[in-house]
Amino acid sequence: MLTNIDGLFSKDVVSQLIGEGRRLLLSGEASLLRELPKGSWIGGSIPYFLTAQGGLKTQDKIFVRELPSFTQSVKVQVYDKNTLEGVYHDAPRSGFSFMILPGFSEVHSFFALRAPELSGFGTRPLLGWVSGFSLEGEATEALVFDGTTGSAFTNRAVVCHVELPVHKVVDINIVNLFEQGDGDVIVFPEDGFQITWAEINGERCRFSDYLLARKVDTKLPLVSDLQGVSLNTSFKQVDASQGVVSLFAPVYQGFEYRLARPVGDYVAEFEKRVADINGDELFFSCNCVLNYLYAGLEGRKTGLFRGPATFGEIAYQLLNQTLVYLTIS
Amino acid sequence: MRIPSQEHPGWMKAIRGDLTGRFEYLATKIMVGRLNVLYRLNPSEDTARRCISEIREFFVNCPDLPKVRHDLVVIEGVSSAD
Repeated sequence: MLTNIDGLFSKDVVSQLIGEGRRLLLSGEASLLRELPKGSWIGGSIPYFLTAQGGLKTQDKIFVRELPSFTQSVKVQVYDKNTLEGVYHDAPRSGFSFMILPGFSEVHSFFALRAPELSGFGTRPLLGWVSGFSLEGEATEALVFDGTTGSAFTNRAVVCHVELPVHKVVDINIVNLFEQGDGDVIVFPEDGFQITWAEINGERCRFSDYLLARKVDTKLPLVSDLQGVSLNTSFKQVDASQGVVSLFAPVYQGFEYRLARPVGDYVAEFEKRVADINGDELFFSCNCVLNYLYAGLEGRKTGLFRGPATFGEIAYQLLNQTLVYLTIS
Repeated sequence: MRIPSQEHPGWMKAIRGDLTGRFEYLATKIMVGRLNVLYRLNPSEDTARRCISEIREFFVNCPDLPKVRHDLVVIEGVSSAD
């Protein structure tokens, strides 16, 4: 692993690390992050993690990932939906940009819908995750933190632009166990998180009726295929009375979706897929909280792929039910 | 990196989704996949021009990474006769 410090630590230990001037990417319960001192860190709220000991929910510890020792400079910037257009232009020529978005916020929705159209899309490595909260009990606000100013936000993206030596090769990739099944081709007439109508094999119908009539397992995402990459859109809710299907990421007009083929044992399949990835080059990974929940990852190990289990993953654009990871070689 | 001119036929093949090689850089796959949909929905000369401009600009501004160079080879590997 390309990090000196990686794993869950108490608030006091993290405070000490910040005091030592370490440059940190943090995830944890909002109440813990609020109490940390100012320093070179960013963070987001989440209580679900994939750790060396297995999947774990904790509201008492903070997951820490220290930036590599060869990091040359770090610049933390906060964006709203009006300034996000500049995120690629603010990125270093060599390195990567690490973004945390607050879940279910306006800036989250904006990025989800418009990321592929941002100026300079994909011309610098951009990855990150969407913050959230415990899914048990009442929903609270998802937060992101700029540790350099000690500020917390519910509707801003916080981005850590990390400059690395020019000879370092940064690569973002994904592990998505879902792929398109053999079923109907589903096309949507417009972009959005809330869907009423769809074309199923060219025939217009109310999408909620389609899902309910076929008793579709909505734990399986919709999957589009872009140049061989399977991109998921996860179901949030099917409201039959209103005829509306809510999603955790938007669908895009004209894209061809199919329902995912079921995955057997997630961990067994996962281990097969990551067998060839060089763990020595791995710096960061995050996985989706829906994979954590639906695949029963609590207590189960996912090797070196440790980090927060999130409300959305970012690899240039918003993803669902996907593991995102960054390697540096 | 040397980027092919706007007139190179590989760009059009990329926009139409007709390339035989496979891209390696994740951002290329996402970008070209989106442009494939845009062109399929409106396969006009104007759409093609805008899509080619966008994908070419992407490569002009991309870092000089092995996977990016590979993706350029996939596009450049198309001759006019293809």
